[in-house]
Amino acid sequence: MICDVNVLWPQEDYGSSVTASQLSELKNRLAVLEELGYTHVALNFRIRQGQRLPAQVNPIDLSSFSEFKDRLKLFTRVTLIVEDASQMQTVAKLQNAFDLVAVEPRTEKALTSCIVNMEVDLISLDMANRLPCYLKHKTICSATEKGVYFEIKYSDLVDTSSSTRATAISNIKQLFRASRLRGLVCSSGAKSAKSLRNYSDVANMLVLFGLDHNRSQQIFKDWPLKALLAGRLRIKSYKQVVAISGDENLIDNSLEGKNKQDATPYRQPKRRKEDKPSTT
Amino acid sequence: MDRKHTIEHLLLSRSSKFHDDGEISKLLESRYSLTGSQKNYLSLKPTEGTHGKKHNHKSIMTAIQLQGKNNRFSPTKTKNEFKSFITDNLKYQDRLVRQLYLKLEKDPNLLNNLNDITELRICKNLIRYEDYVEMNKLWKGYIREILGTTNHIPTMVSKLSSSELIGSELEVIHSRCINNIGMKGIVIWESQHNFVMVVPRQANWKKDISTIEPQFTLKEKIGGLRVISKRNTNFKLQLETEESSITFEIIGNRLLIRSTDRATRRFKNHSVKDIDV
Repeated sequence: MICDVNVLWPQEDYGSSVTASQLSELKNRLAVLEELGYTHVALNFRIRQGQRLPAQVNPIDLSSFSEFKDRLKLFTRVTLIVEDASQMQTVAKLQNAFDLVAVEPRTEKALTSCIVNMEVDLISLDMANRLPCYLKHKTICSATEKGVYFEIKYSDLVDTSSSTRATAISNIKQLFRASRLRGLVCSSGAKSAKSLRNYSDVANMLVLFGLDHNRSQQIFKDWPLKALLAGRLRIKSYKQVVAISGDENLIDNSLEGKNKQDATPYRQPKRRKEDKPSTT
Repeated sequence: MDRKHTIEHLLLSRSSKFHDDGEISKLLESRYSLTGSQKNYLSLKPTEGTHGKKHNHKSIMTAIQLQGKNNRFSPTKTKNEFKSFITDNLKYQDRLVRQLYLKLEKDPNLLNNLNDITELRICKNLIRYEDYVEMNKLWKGYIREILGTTNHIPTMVSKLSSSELIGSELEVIHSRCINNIGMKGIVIWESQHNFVMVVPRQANWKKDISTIEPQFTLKEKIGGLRVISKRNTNFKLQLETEESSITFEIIGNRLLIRSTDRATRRFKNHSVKDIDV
């Protein structure tokens, strides 16, 4: 169960639509990910704050990826870029439509209010540029305690200019220091298939930056699964007490349609007792 | 008026013996003073009647009164009785396993020609799953009434989380205690940390294996009561309507409260560190 929780969805905002070439390119990326051994993949839709949400909040239609049905577990994820900490009402609407909810705070105020007030699964800091503030151990670890995970994108380290790479490395080391190596998630964030890497290569690179070997495995396996579980339980269950369940485990979303709050797909026709095959 | 002994004052003023207030207050003062003529103690003298005789039989009135006292509802008494019912039965089951083991050593074919293990004389007092099926039927009617015909996942799930689970049929689908996995039974009691279930004899997941002859342990053969911890355990709850069935999963780690508190409790999302995928 190796996860990549950030595969960029080609759409930038609700106005534009996905062309056929973009879709086939995305499918290429997914095929490469499958080849590299990933099993759980989340498609990431990035929106800026302040956009008007249409009635259909989730533009990602997983039914168009039917060829990956048994090969990859696909999830939808939204990343809200937060610049103004006072306007966060949109998150509540997004929570019921996407499997994973992430925020990308751009200011210090936004970061603290994301941790204190909002129910999100992931916080993704923009590593390619200067961080909004000095990361304090207290704030970061209070988020980890709450069950919010921090995301590291390795696309900032691959396929970029050397100066951004240097910033990204120093930012990652900052996050490592502030989080005490707990509650981290590593994902690709790749725009093209070229910059995708095998997870063990990235894990080795993160060991270079100061992660230990055990956690370099957890950062791809256990922790993103926990984030996925939290996000899925928000949709499937009442406050994580009683969940509706399909055939498989708690994070499975194969039965859901466009409207995630409709229970009809979960209803299974009653199995009639079949006659036992006669022994000849 | 004297404020001190108002009640006595009032009573004595009714008496024809006293004519004015001063007399009464004087009497009362001397009655309650330490040095007065009257002492403040009660003297009892023997009276006529059944002196020195022992009561051989209680009068009917006292007998009824005593019986009423014994029958009066007391929550601690009921609780203790229920507790002893469970512990006694668990002990009995353990003893039965040991006895059967010894018997089987002597006579390996003891269980082979029996239809049902309760036919054995020592197994007569076992708690039988069949007796509780009726309770499950009652519960099914109750839950159908609660859920109604809604198809909206959040309302269904929130209603279920505050509903009663005694009488439901649960199956353990995930547990850190591997012996509990696959256990299926009707809940007869829910405490803060445990479910007390009645499990059927032999009918568990091993029955579904068609390729090999299943080997049941003696404990599985006698069934009966099981106490299953909610911690680190997920339960499956299947609700059936006429045409379809729908499955729910109860996460035991979040259910660690008594059922009476659960009805009114506002739950919160927590970190999912303790929930296994």
